[in-house]
Amino acid sequence: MVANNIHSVKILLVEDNPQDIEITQRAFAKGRVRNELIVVRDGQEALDYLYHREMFKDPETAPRPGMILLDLNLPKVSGMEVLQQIKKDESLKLIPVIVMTVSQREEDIVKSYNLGVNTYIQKPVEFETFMKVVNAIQEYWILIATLPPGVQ
Amino acid sequence: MKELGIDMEEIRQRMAFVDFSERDVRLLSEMKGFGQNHADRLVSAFYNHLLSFEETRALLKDQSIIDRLKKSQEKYLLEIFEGNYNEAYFEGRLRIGAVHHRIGLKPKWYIGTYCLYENLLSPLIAEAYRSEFDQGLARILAVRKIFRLDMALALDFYFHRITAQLGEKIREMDDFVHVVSHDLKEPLRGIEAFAGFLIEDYASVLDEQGKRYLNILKGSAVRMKDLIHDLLTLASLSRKDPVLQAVDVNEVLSDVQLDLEFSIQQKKAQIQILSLLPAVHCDPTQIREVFKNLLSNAIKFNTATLPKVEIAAREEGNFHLFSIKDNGIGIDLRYTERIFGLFERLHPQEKFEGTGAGLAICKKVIERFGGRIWVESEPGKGSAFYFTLPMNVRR
Repeated sequence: MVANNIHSVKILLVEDNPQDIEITQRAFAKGRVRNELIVVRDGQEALDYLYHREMFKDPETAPRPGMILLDLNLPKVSGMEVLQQIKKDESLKLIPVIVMTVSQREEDIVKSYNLGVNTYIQKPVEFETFMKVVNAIQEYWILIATLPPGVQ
Repeated sequence: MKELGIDMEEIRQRMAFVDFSERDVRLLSEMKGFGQNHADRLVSAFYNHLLSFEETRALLKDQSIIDRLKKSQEKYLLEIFEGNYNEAYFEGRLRIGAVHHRIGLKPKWYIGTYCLYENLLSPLIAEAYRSEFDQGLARILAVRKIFRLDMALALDFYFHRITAQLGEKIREMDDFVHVVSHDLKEPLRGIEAFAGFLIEDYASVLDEQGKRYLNILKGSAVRMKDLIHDLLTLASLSRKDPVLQAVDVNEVLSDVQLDLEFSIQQKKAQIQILSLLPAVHCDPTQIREVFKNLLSNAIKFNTATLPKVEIAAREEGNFHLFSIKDNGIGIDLRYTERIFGLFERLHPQEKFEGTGAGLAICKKVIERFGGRIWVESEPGKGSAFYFTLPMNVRR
């Protein structure tokens, strides 16, 4: 199997805060790799996307992401629940999930790793640091690591 | 009993402590029914006693509470003279403490009850054994011992519940602090990021003043983030139980110097450790925070061309005495107490950055371990920060 086709790796961003969405989009736009960022606004939408339900019934509208950036603080279905469902599902659990959230509570960190999160990151306040984090994610997960098969 | 971590072994120890022996068990069981015979009198005395004080009268408004209290007292008076001082008996004593806690009857009041019973029972026993003074006295003493044991258990339970409630309150407060801090960071990110986007995307239409304003916005947001971080640190110091272990202070200092590598190099600071530092019994994370704050201050509040920091330790009686001396700007004597207050700063933000929480955190940690922290300083002549840590750990 060849190394990742880096530019075609799609990233699913699960985030409800519009400013954080814009900040993340900008960070990726300035990043080394032009990954497409697909945004869903809450936990329910995230699951609908991944399971091709409701507005994402047509699989063409919901291409499988190569990576998921997940905020824990979500309306409707919580980020933790989304994480749990993804990592329990045979077809979805291979997708690397990176939690990017405000919480630094030990319970959240431990629970996330117990559920199988690949990386837990605290959202930085300063944009410069945010950029560094996004660059680091791209560098590590897309340029250095080999993603599991089933990714574009 | 299990809930409180008390077992029969503990009970036996307590009995030995008040000298409640097999003989006392025999003396009391020979008086079987004694308590029951006088129960009416004793329980109404108990009830009237509670009625005569305003605070306890208020608790007796409900007839079902009164009935339950009276019943439990009758049962108690029966059980004292049955001679079965086994697990069931003592579980019963703890349960009484539970009842008291539930209805809001504080220890200071029900201790009065035990005294009341003793005061009433003693002459009754003396009277019953009036022809054998020694027997009477021995039984009075036996009753007194069992009352002491029972009282202690009721108190244990009451305080156990209170402690659990406090623990719950602390957890609630902790949740609150966390939620508040996290929710506050999100808009800060927005302010800092979008001010930066403005500077980048609209550079051509912004003059120097405009860029300056936006940079001030960014700076404010970052400062607030640091304040929140320090608040969280202080809050978690209050609620987290410190992890006590033997900590090699030499290792802590090399870690701290690594953390501060950037500013040490930037200011060309010389850090000297004058002696081999001891191992102390404390929480490694917290003591690291203390040294980091003190060392960081020593380097930061320093305008000398060659900033120097000397760290030393010696034994003073039962304490380790640590000192961190610098050749920095010094502190006016008038402020040497104030600087340990939360968010207290002596200098404007432009001259020396920082939240002013560092020393408050140090003070909290040191005092929690039973030590003291203070400073000796003069403006222009550097500062010497001292703190003590006890050598022997009291659990």
